[in-house]
Amino acid sequence: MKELFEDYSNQMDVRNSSVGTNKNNNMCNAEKAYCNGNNDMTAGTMNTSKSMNNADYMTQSNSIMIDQMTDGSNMEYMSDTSVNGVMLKPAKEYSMGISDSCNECVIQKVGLAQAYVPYQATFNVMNPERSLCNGTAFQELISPYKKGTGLGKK
Amino acid sequence: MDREALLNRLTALDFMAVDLGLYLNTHPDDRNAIGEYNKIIEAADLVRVKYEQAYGPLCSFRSLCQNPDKWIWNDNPWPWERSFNFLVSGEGCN
Repeated sequence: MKELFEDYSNQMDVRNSSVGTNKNNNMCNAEKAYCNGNNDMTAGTMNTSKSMNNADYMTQSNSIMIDQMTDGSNMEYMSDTSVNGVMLKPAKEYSMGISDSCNECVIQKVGLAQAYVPYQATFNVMNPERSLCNGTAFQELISPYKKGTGLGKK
Repeated sequence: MDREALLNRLTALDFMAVDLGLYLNTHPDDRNAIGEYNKIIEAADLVRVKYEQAYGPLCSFRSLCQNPDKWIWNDNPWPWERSFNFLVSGEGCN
């Protein structure tokens, strides 16, 4: 299992320092801002550290995931001090580069979310052909997802 | 209506029936929606019968075999095949 991860980590090193960094800069600003507000936050602490660049930040956050998956003792990392202990490991030790460190950060800080769908207060049906094309019978529910955009009302 | 127009109409009506049904699950007392739902179901049933009389069964069960001499469900294409279906796009989507 561990060998498999290490093989993969070698392949991913390049992405980790280029594509991964861009992703980190461009797509996670809100999460980073939130996490940076608390120095106990693992990712936030790493991000504000002048001694590490973004690639280090990515790989070290990823190392938490690998540790959790390989040694199977997730509970060890539940407290802040244990998380910080893990983060002191050398960045390259278990670099992987595919996990989303912003996601890790949000999970640790906010926790897993619960979905909330507001009650539909209107009933404006479209004609059947238009409904089929749009995937909904309701004009107000037309909300196609476009990659790279938010899900808020246009 | 030709085969594709009938199929398009039926698919759209069945889709609406599903979506209005979902709406009614959370709005079970909405009389207006119940009326719309029933209208859609009745319209879809009419189109379904019309289609099957002209072009054969849409389901492997619950569809009348219109041809008394031959079971034609086996004939290609089947409803899940590309050549059976129409493209959902164009003006109707706007």
